[in-house]
Amino acid sequence: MAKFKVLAAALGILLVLGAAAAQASGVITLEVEILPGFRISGPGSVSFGSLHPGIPEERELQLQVWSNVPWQLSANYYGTVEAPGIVEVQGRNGTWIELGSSTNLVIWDQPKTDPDGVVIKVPLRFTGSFSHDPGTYDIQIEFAVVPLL
Amino acid sequence: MTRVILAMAVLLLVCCGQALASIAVAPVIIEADQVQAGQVFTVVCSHGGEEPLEVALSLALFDQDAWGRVILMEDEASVARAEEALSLERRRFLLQPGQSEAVQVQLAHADFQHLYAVLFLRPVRPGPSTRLAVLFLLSSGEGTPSLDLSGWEQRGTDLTITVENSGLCHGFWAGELLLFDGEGKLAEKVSVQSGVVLPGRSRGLQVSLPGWVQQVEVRSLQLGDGS
Repeated sequence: MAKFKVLAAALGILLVLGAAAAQASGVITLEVEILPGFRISGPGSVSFGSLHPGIPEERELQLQVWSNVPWQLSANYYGTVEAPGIVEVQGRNGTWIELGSSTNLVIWDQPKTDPDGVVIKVPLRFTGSFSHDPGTYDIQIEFAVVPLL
Repeated sequence: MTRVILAMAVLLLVCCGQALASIAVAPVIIEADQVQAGQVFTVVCSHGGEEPLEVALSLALFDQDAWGRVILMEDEASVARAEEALSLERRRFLLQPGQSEAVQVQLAHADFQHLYAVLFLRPVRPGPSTRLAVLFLLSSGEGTPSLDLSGWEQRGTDLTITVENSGLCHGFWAGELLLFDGEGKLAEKVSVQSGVVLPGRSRGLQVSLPGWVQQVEVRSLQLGDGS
């Protein structure tokens, strides 16, 4: 009889512990909404060094983009004064696009990226003008990352 | 000789002027119908760089080209229309490293059937910038999309489908491809969707077909309102 009581008590304790364990391991549903978004990171300036006017020089710009939606990249000349030459970017189809004040589509139909983002390389070309004095110039161009619909 | 004499040192500044400037924005697509004057939309901008960063805001409109790509419209008239319809609580704000800031855009009026506007967030630096664009697809609810399959063309394994939105609001087209093999038997059905098509615009989409496909038919399934 005593053994039966001990077994019953042990069984009771196990049931209580089991119930407690079941509560402790209860599943909680977290509801989240991930918004479409992107991030961009780029290097600083790109130096073309010393150039001969009239002779095109090419450099490559690297941008890193993170996006959970498809995206495209546009570019335009952003300076407030006339550029001391011709500034061009190479589009995805290989053509060189001269940059003006209006935006030009450079890269399009880009898929959403993985968590590490994607590094895109944008070839730049500058041809110095004979009509500008020798000297050092800052040329400002602007890129726009735009989601695709 | 002249070339040597006139050698110029050119510094082309791109991005944010500083190394590894990083800025993030979400959401980048804001779509709402039955919008009303005074309605507020919120965009969150965060800064992952190592130095304080000032961000400038500006507005414009956008359109689509024949392949559905976004065309930014920053001419004076487009900017004026965007500024008239949307108001920004501020034009610039400062972000500390790691800080996020909520940007509120208020609809000044809803006297339109649809408005396709873009908000630019541009880091302000001594050098140039990289802008992030947030697209607004707003409709007052008075118009509906009307999308139709306007044609398709098969060239080998490439299929080009063109859909047209003759309605008064953006929407998308959904359909299916019926793929027939060399014996003329229907072997597979594939679902296709156009993506958003703005009103009055056509959008082409390209599909790569399996090599065994001899004939294809395109069938419209449903019309969507884009939401």
